[in-house]
Amino acid sequence: MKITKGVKDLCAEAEKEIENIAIESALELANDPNVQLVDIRDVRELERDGQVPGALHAPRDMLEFWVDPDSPYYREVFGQDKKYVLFCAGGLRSALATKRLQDMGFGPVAHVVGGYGAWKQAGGPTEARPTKKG
Amino acid sequence: MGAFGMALKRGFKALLAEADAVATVLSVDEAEARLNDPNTVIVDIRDIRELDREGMVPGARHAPRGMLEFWAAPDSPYHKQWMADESKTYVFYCQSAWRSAIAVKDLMDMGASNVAHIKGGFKAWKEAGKSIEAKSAKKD
Repeated sequence: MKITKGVKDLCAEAEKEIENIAIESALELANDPNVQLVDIRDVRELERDGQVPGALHAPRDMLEFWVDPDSPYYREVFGQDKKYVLFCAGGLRSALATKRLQDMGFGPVAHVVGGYGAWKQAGGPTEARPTKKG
Repeated sequence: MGAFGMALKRGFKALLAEADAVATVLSVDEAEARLNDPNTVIVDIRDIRELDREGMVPGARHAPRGMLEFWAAPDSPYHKQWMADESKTYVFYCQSAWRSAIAVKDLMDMGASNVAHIKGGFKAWKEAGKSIEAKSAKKD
């Protein structure tokens, strides 16, 4: 297919409109009771690379449907009086996802610049994903 | 402050309505007629766990929706060459045609024009008794 507007533009535009949280701040927010960290990666990435303890796994492809109380797929965990801080592997998908949720009127929502890669590099806590199905 | 648990100002129904206004839709029968069309690429955008559990449309490629823009765009480090063919039509499907509607709209916003999705998604495909193929071990 012919793509005339690439992901560099999309992500740059998104980051102009959303809150971008540097990894140092994200590490502190992990223990903030008013923050819910949300891992939007594919389940195979969590199985392969590990995950952040306490982060909620909400795959990017279902996000619009999980956050909307009108949706049959709504998850009550998205109804908390908290700030939702999204991350992916490198901070690109999470920029687009954060922009999408913000455009829907969901929030407050923000994303972690550099994602899980930056988290690991900065020494943030990680754990293996339990092997249970689903 | 956000209105927690309250209706969103532009919820998923609005997103679907915006997508439906522009996205080309193929019926299950129309999609089936294209199964062996060399100018059509059928793309399953569901989560890998759904493919493992339910199987796929025969011959479909898998491009998880979470990565779709990044596989489609040539300026992305994750770009997939098989998505770059401008002579082909890419026909997407998910489970019930909600995610695929928004995905097609998102790709159209990036400039793609030869894109469509399957009405009712894999659920409709299965209910119509169309053939199903197990997810193969091959890489995406």
